[in-house]
Amino acid sequence: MKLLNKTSLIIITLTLFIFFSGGVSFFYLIRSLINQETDRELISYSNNLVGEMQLFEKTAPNSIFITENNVEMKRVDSFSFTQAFFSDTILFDPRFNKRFPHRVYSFPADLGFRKYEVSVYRSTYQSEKLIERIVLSLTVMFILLILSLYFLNRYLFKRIWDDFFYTLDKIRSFEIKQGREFYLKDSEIEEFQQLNQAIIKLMDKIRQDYRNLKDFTENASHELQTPLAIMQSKIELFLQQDDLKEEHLELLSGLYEAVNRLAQMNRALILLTKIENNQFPEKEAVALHERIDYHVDQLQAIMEEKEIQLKVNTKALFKEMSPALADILLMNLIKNALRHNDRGGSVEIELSNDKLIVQNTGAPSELPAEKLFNRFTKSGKNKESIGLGLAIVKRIVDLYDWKIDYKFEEGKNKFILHF
Amino acid sequence: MKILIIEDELDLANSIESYLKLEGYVCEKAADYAEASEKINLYRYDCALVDINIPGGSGLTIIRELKALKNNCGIIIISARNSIDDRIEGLEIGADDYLTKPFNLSELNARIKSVIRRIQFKGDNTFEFNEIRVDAQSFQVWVHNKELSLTKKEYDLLIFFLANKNRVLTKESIGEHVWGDYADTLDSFDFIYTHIKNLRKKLLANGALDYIKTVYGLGYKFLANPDT
Repeated sequence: MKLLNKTSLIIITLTLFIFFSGGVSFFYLIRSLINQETDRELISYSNNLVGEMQLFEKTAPNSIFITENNVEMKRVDSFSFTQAFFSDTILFDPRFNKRFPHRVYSFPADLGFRKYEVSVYRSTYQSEKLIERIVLSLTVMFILLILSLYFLNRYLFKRIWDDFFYTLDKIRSFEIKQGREFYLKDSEIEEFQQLNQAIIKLMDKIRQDYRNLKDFTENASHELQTPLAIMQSKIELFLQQDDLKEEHLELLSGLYEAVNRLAQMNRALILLTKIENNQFPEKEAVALHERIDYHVDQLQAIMEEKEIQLKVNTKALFKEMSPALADILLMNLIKNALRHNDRGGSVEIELSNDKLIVQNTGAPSELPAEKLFNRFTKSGKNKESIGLGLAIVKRIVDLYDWKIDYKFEEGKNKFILHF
Repeated sequence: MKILIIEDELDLANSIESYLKLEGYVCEKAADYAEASEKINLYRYDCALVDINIPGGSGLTIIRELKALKNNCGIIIISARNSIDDRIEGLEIGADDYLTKPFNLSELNARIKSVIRRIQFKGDNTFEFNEIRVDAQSFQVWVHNKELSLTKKEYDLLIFFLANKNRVLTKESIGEHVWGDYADTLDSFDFIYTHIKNLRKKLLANGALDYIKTVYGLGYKFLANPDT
């Protein structure tokens, strides 16, 4: 749940609760106050009435109902009640042809010569109306208050959390590989300012560590180039000696092969580091179909040698990318399909608008698909491979936000690159 | 033929020098910028091998100076940094070729020969070895004045052999020269054998001597005097 919704919900439930309970008690309070007032009036009126009744002639009627004053007197021989009491009733008013609620004060009046049970009525219609209005205006006020609280909360939220969301956005869009400086604007709110400072410190540390690691890989592989060059050249020179025996040649051959492999590996590592360092920023629309044809052509002799059937089915497709990386990507995929193939097998290359499929016959990979693209993972039987080709492919695919999958289907190793 | 080796790694410079001496070149070495600058201004070279990262300056500056001198000196960059920018810049300011360390000396030798040939024999880029004649511009080869029909790979092989006569050429260096970046596609370099066999057959069929000899386990050697 969003923070804004959470706080709004709490505020609204709390105000609802307060207003509901407050409203109910207020309603009863007002009612009892008005009732008290009515009762007082009724008592004072009845006191006056008793005074007036003392003047009654002996001929006074048995029962009187005075509509205008809402007084009812009933002559009794003995009282049916001895205590005065209040009650509520509804009376029909013929003037309005309508029933109205009334408050009734009944009391026994003993005039000495006669006894009357007197009831004094007072319409409570007006006060009920008053209470109704008070409740209505209270409800309106309450709704207005809740609305204003809701909008105030939203506004405050926006103002206060603005810095927070800015920071969040910045962190989200931060890409360590881009190597850009990470900065946050200052916040007026101390807590957020502290958060920002902590994040900046953390980011600096991460960037520093990442840079150190990258520099190390980069420097190490570059520094290795020269000693490798020396080793390779010395062995080559050594080979030119005229009086070498066969066993010497064999030793030198082993040494030369090892150095050569090391050099290849190092070259691949440098390439990987360069892709990671984004050192191929140039982009142009590369005609992938043409590049595929070119590489296939270059590898023709090798395919003939391995008696590999080639099927190329490409549609014209241009991709915005570094031409150098396009070549490396295609070359590595095609070379991979050739290297892990059987004599007399086949390679199929299919290029459509949204994907490139390179599939080849051969035993399925012994490695799980997710490990296949890791560095230095290779199946044991292929000694020549240095295990970096697919890692380079993956890096390039990642760089352009594409996706690559490996599948083994119908006896074929299938690499599917989704653009 | 005089070659200047501008390289601060003495060991590497010495290896290059030794190999090129076998080819009959006269070599001089410069280990830093000042020395290199002094040498190119004092003497004339047929080809300069320039490392980009040298103490005291940049190899690229040396290339600019060499170009300003206009003395027809071939320039080959040898750099540890396989950077496309360096390569493009180097070639743009006038370098003739670019090799990334580590490289095979036989490859370097072939490149030097090709560069010198290009520069010094403008227009007519043919050369001969005994009964074999090569036109490097039209990629044609004749044996006893009879044209050979060679595939591109066979032609590349022959040029590489001719540039490195009497040298042991490893399968790896032959593979890299002929197939470049694709060389590692081969399960082993054994299938180079097929191409060499075909080339040899074509040479022999046209009356050339049997120059190509197998070196056990390592590669091949193009003998300048196969009878001796």
